[in-house]
Amino acid sequence: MRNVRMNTRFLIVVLTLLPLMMLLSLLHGSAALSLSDLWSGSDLTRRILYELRLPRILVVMLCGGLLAISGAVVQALFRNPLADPGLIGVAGGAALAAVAWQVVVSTTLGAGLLLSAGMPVAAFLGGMLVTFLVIHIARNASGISSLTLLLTGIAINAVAGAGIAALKYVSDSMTLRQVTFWLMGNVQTASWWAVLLLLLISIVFVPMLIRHAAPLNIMLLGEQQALLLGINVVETQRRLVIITALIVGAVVSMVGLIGFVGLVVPHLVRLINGPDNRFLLPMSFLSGALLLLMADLVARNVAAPAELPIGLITALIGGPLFLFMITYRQRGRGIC
Amino acid sequence: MLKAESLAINRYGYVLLDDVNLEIKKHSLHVILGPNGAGKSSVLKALSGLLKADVGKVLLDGLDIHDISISERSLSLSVLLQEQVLDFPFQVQEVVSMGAYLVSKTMLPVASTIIDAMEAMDVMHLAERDYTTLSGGEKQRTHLARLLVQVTHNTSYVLLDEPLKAIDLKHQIAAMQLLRKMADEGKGVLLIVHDLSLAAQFADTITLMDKGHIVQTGTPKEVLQPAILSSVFQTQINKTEALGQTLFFAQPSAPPER
Repeated sequence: MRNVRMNTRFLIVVLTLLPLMMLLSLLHGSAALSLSDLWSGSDLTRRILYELRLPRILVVMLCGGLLAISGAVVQALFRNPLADPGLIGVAGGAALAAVAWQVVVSTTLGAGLLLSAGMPVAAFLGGMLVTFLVIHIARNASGISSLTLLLTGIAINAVAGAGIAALKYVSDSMTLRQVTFWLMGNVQTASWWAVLLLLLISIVFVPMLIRHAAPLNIMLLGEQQALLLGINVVETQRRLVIITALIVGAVVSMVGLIGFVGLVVPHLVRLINGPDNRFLLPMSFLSGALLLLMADLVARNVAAPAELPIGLITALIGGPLFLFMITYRQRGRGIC
Repeated sequence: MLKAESLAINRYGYVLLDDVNLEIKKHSLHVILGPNGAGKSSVLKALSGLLKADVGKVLLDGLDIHDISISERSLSLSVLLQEQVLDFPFQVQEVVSMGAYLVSKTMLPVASTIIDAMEAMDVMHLAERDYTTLSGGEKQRTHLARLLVQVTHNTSYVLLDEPLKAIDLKHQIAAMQLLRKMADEGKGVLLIVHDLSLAAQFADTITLMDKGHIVQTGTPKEVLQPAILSSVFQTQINKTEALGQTLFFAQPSAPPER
């Protein structure tokens, strides 16, 4: 294929903004710090910086990047720019499984290592189950139908929502509180362990996803046409579904449901630089990190010293943007 | 040789193909004709390995096509399907370059073949246009150029399902001449069209299909007889000669009221 169409200015802007925003995030919050605190602060400020803010910032960035790149991959897999792990029910399935794990295990065995270690596994399994279910239901002879896809997502989200509500109903008040905050996107408890796990996932899986960028481009021509151009479509789909479910499951189990990042970020990147996945995937990772970092900065500072859940901010920005995207698409097709 | 041996395919309780035997030879342009639902696309999909036969098999140069790996297949078989589903705003040149997917992995220089293909299909002036904003005919020409890139880099056989749909006359003729040239240069070309006159003008061999089976295979002279055509297409089809061309046209069953 031709050399990748690449907007270098976009890349430079994102790469410059990322460290700037990181610095801003480090210094701003319920306790305002100054630049010099970074190297010569008191014990307290050092603790705030290196045990609270830095791991949180890194978790936020990694989650943003992972969610955005998974969104981009899911959109290519389903040949639908409106697909998103949240919309088609993958995140919902992951959340339901994680909540179920949390409620059942914490009421039977109590808190412990099993509780925290099992959650990502449960979320991954839930996410993967839903992805395969969605592919199975939405696929017809000519590929995957977007209408069936979104309808399936609605149904799955309804079931997941009801399941989560039922689990909340039977859980004790402590678990209820935890689950509720976690579901709205909770990054307050971010630890270095979470950073390590997310970093590991990013190092292993992000390059794997990016390696599939060229075949993903071809698969946008349709599954049959891609097969005729030499791509083992079924195998590629299976591999990518497992990786994205793993990623989404891990992210959901760490920080709960953070909506719209996987939808809005790839869309913005596509607007700037076209749909070529070889640029879209890495750029979505970087831009997702930047966007969620900025959302977190807002969440921590807009009502300081109180904090808003980060999922609230992304939904507030992402929801209207999504509506705009739908009407824009419709107008382009001469429907409105 | 690309060969279908007594293919039978049933799907959704319908007979798609029944005892179909077909040979696509190199150095030859083979056209399949037939009414809607005759099974033309099913034959093409079976020949390209997309549709697995219940009975019979497809042999690609002597090997069962399902024993050949997907990437190997795409290196000796170029196929253009009837439906195009691309719905992402790639540039035209990006779509065309997708034809070189497998070869580009081996780092061969492909830029010139992409430009040649775009020029051959007259989409060079659209190279940087957003594919989704093109007209139907322009989209089709873009996909033909993409196929051309794939053909240039490999392929003994080229299969096309209604490649001329939505294309204007100038570009239809250009495309047909190009396919004719491919066949003359040694490729085995299989083509589904609805234009009987074009088939008469360009084909070496014609297969006429109806209701999932083959009515007749032969030279254009043998197959394109008004009596056979009229019975298969269930409408009066006439033949005439003009300027050295054989032309076919359907006659309205009742005189239209004015």
